[in-house]
Formats: sequence, C-alpha cells, structure tokens
Amino acid sequence: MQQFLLILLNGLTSAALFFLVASGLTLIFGMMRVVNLAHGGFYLLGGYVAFSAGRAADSWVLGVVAAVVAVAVLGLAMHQILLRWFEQQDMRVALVTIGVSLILADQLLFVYGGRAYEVSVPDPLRGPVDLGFLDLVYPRYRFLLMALAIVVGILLWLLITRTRFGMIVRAGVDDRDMVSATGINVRLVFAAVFLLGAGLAGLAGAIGGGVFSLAPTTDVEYLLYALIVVIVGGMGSIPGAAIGALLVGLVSQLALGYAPPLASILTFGLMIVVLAVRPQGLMGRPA
Amino acid sequence: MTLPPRFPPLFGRLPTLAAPLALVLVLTACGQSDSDGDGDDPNLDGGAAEEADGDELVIGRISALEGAFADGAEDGERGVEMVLDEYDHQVAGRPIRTIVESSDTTPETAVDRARKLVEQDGVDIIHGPLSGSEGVALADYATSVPDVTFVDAASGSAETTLEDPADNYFRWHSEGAMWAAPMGPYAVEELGYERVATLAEDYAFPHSQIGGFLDGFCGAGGEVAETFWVPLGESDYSSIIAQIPEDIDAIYVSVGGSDAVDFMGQAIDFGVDVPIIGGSILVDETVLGAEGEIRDAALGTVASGSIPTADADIPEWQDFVSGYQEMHPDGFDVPSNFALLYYNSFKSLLLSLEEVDGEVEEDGGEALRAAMTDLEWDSPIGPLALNENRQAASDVFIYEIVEDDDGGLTTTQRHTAEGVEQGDAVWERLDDCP
Repeated sequence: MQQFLLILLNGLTSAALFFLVASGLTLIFGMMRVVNLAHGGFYLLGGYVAFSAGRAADSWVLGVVAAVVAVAVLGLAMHQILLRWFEQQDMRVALVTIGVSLILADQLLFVYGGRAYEVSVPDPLRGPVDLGFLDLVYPRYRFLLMALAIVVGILLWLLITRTRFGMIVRAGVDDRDMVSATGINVRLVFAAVFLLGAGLAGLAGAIGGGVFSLAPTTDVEYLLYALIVVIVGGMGSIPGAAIGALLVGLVSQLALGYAPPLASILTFGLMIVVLAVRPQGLMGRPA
Repeated sequence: MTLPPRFPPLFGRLPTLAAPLALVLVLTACGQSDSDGDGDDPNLDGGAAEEADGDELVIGRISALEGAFADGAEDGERGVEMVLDEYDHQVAGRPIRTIVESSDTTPETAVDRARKLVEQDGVDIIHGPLSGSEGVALADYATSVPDVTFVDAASGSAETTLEDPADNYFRWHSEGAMWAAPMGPYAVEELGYERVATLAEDYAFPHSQIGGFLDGFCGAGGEVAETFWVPLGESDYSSIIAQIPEDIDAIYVSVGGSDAVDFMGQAIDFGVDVPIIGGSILVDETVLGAEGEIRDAALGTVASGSIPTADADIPEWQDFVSGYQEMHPDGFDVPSNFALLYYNSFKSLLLSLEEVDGEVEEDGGEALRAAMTDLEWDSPIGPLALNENRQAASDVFIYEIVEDDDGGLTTTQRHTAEGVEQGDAVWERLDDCP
C-alpha cells in the first residue's frame, strides 16, 4: 500500500513536469499552429541557464527567473527572425525548428559537455517531508513541482478563457484577417504567445533540472514526452495537456514500478489506444 | 542527440503516427549524422592527416560520445590522446590517423559504425567500444570480418570473451563480473552486510556486474532480498526507490553515467538511509565530477572497479595520474576508469603494432594478432597479459568515497584483489543468488 501510494505520487510528479513542458508546446500550437520541435532544446537550455545563473548569483530564484527570461527571449527571436516568413507552411516551420534544436543542442554540448548537471535547490526545499500516515515520506521539492504545475495550469486557462488577450488570440486563430481589420495588431499578440510558450519551456527546464539530471539527449527525451502528452490530450488544448500529462505520468511510473521492461511500451501503448479511439486526442478539436 | 536506447525499437512498430512524431524521427536521424558523420574533428584526430601518404596507418575508433556515457567517453578520449602523444602520433615510422565514430551505447549503432569504418573507410583495426552490449555486438560482428583486428576500449560484458570468443577480438581489461567479484565476499566479511537488494540497468554489463557480485556474496553466506532492473537511460528512479525493502543491510547499485547522478540525487531526496555499495561505474570520476548535490548520497559509498584511487601507492599509476593532469587540465581531478581503460587498450594496440613494424595490411593482420596474443606489459594498474580467450586479468580495487581537504569528494583505497581472473559463467539477468 505504502509503495503503491509512493509510486502514485511519483506519477503525479512526472505528470506535473510533463505538463509544464507540454503546456508551452500546446499553447504555441493551439494559437499559432506551429509545432515547435525546438521545445525540448528550450527545456534543456532553461535547465542549464538556471544552473549557471543560479550558481553565479548564488540564488535559486534568480536562476529560475533568468532561465524563463532567457528562453522566452530566444523563443521570441526564433519566431521573429525565422518563423514569421513561413507562417501557415507547416513543413517548413517544422524543419526550421528542428534546425534550431540541432544547433542549440550542439552549442549546449560545446559549452556544457557531456557531464550531467543538476540545478542546485535551496536546502529548505530539499529532503523528504513526513506525510504523517503509513510512514510515508516524500521529497518536499516534488510537492513544490506539483503545486507549480497546478498554478501554471490554472493561470493559463484563465488567461485564455477569461481575458481580452485570450479572446484576441482565440479569434486570431480562426480568422486573422477579421481580427486585424478591427485594428488589433495580431502580429504583436502572436509574438506574445511565442514568448510565453518558450518561457514555459524554460521554466520547466529550470524546475525539472532540480529533480532530473540535465545532459545531452535530455532535450529529445522531453520533446518526445511533451509530444506524447500533447497528442494524447489533444493538440492545442491546455486542459488536454493536463489530462494527457496525468495519464502519461501515471502510466509510465506504474509501469516502471511494477513492470520496468514494459515502461516505454505501455507509454506508447497509451498513445496508440487514445489515437485509435479518438484521433484528435482526448480534448482535441476534430481537424 | 539520440533518444535513450529504450525508444528506438518502438518506432519501427508504429506505422502511422501523428506527423510530429515522424518529425522527431527526422530530428533523431539528423542528430546522429550531424555529430558523427565526419571523422576529422580536429580535437579527436590523430593529428597526422595533413601529411597523409601511402605510409599512413588508419585506425577506426568507436566511442560513445552520445547518451548516458558521453561524459565517460570524453574522458576515454583523453586517455587515447595521451597514448598518441606518447608515440608522437606515429608507430614504427608510420603516421597514425584515427577516424572516430560516435555511438550511443546501443549495439545496433556500434555495429553500424563498425561496418562504416570497415566498408567505407577500409580500416584494418578498430578500437572501441565503451559499453557492454556494444562490445557483445562488435565481437559478434568481428567473426564476419576476420581480417579486421578489434581492440575493446572499455566495454565490460562477460560474454564478449566467454561465449564463442572471436579470434580477432582482444580485450585488455577486466570485465564487469571480474570488477564486481571481490566486492561480494568483502561486503559480507568486512562490511558485515548479510542481506542486500540490488539495483541495476537492464543490459549486458550490469548483468555481468550483478552476477559477479552475487556469486561471491552468496558464496560468503549473503542473501538477496530483492533485485531491481531498470532500462538504461532512465532518469526517474523514484518508483524503484519507493520499493527498496526495509529489512536490508545495504543496496548494491550498478548504474553509471548520468543515470547514476539521477539515482544518487533522488536517493537523498527520498531519505534512503541504507548504505549503498557500488558497481564499478556508480561513483567513478564521471559521477563524482557531476555538477549538483549528489555528495550526500555518495559519501561513504564503497565500490569496486578497475581503477586505483588518487592516493593509491602505485608508482606507475601515480605517473599516469600526473601525466593525465598535466595534459588535460580541463579533465577530471583524477582520470576516470574510462580514461585508464581507453589508455591501456590503445597502448596495447600500439605496442603490438611496434612489434610487427607497423605491418597490418599485407598479411590481413595476422602478425599483429599474433603479437598481441603474446604481448605482456606493465600498465598503470599493473602487468597485463591475455588468456586463451584474448581476455586480460587485472587487479581490482575496492575503495570508499570520502571528503577531500577542499570539501569535495574523492576516493580512498580500502582493499586490492590481485590478479582477478575471468570466471566461466556468462551471467544473464539474475533475480536471486546464482
């Protein structure tokens, strides 16, 4: 029982991190129909920046802030300099983002080498906390991760459904020309979405890097997880990403706990089952 | 830039997935060709490329510069550079050129790269690979190209030289089971651990390590509470840690590289309080050098392996360490076992080449292989020679992780098991005492 609960909590931890990574990906896709395949690279960059800046400033918080800002700016630059020219051309956009991710990965390998890094987390956030029943102890930092994912999820959902900004974005996706005609600068709004989406990847890397090591290939690993989450949940849907992350996190941890060799097969299996039953993903809109 | 090894086989079975996944495949493919396509990276090159003439000796190399052991492979490369430097990039008057191919620790990639080296580059000698399963696959491939001489770099799976060993595959270092064997009785007799759990990655090298450890451990009266096997490249050990039984004296862990960093970090977070004893790569320099806060878990860990400690009283080893530090100020404080193993194996190759006056091509490498079979030399960790399976025996060192004067982590010697010979069992996944 105790083990099962711990594995369940681990599933929630994984889900929280998957959601943080996937939310930016799905946000950008939902609003702009851009599949940003550099998203995993943004995650890794965020982690490295949080490590370096955090160490330089001797402050974990500053490290996290620096990661969010740096990656958000990079995302914005990628959109403004490279992607604007290929709007609506899915294949070109995908290839450009792949190119960015490869260049980014090589640069990070050059700067940080193959060594594994972990973002230093302040002592008060480290260590186990006693849950007070069944002798359960669980790392404090992982609860923080879960709380953060929930807060980010709620804020994103409010932003998109309850604000003027969200309304413009949703309208802009459906009919950009009409929105422009009302005098709103759609380009500016879309740039803001990219800034936000990339910043979320940076945040995920900065926070996730405190639990799981950062090394070459981490970028591809998280891009893959994020894509699975987003495909399961439905491309472009924030609640979908939350549900997808929960399913993928729980399935992968339960499998790892009880049938380790099957862990990756079951995770992919989940995706296949969902796609077979509902090709647009659980919360996705039919194409 | 490749996926962890657990992903690729799955893709082949998924016919039509959403477009983004296909693009991830493209991404992976691009990543591979990008980082390993050319062998003339100036840092890794033999340095003699520009003066190439008919005399040039080309050596193909396979190193795991991607994946969980990228850091270890990088250090292995430092060992090779030391040998090349010693030989001034030539042997028996022939300039040496190396073509380095990167693998990702999967057997498929290692064999692909070997094929490329043999079929496209026409090399007669291959030095590599790093990881256990790669070595098994390469030794198997070696039987199909009998004129090519293979010298293992650091891979440590027992079956490579035990199961129908290829005549042209040479391993100048001990393997995983040998490195782990002395730890078994030591854990019972010296550390007083009678009941353990084991945790290891699920591929050939850790299979050998757990086999070697449990063989001696159970023989000395120890018992196994539980065994855990995880995929290579797994970064989340929390659900395994959650299952570590309470009624054990210690947990024996054989994971390495970035996986070991993850395990150690998470062991602290979860308040694991049973002693950790280690396989050969759990707490080597590649892990101790990791950036982050694994020190709390690593401190006090006792492990065994092929490498003496910084303070070991072995003059040849101390020379090697200072040579390494001099040549590689940007390397680890103390060379990792990968630097040592790459060094020993590559130097064995050059010593043998010297014996045959650099003659390789004319006789299909026959003289070279004969010379290597007979070679004996004093390596930084003691005398090396091969048995009838072309497998070396060596001393194995048991050491403990302690704090150094600067508050960092270092190792201190506890015990030396001299001249450990290869056993005769090929260990598969063990789930209890053998």
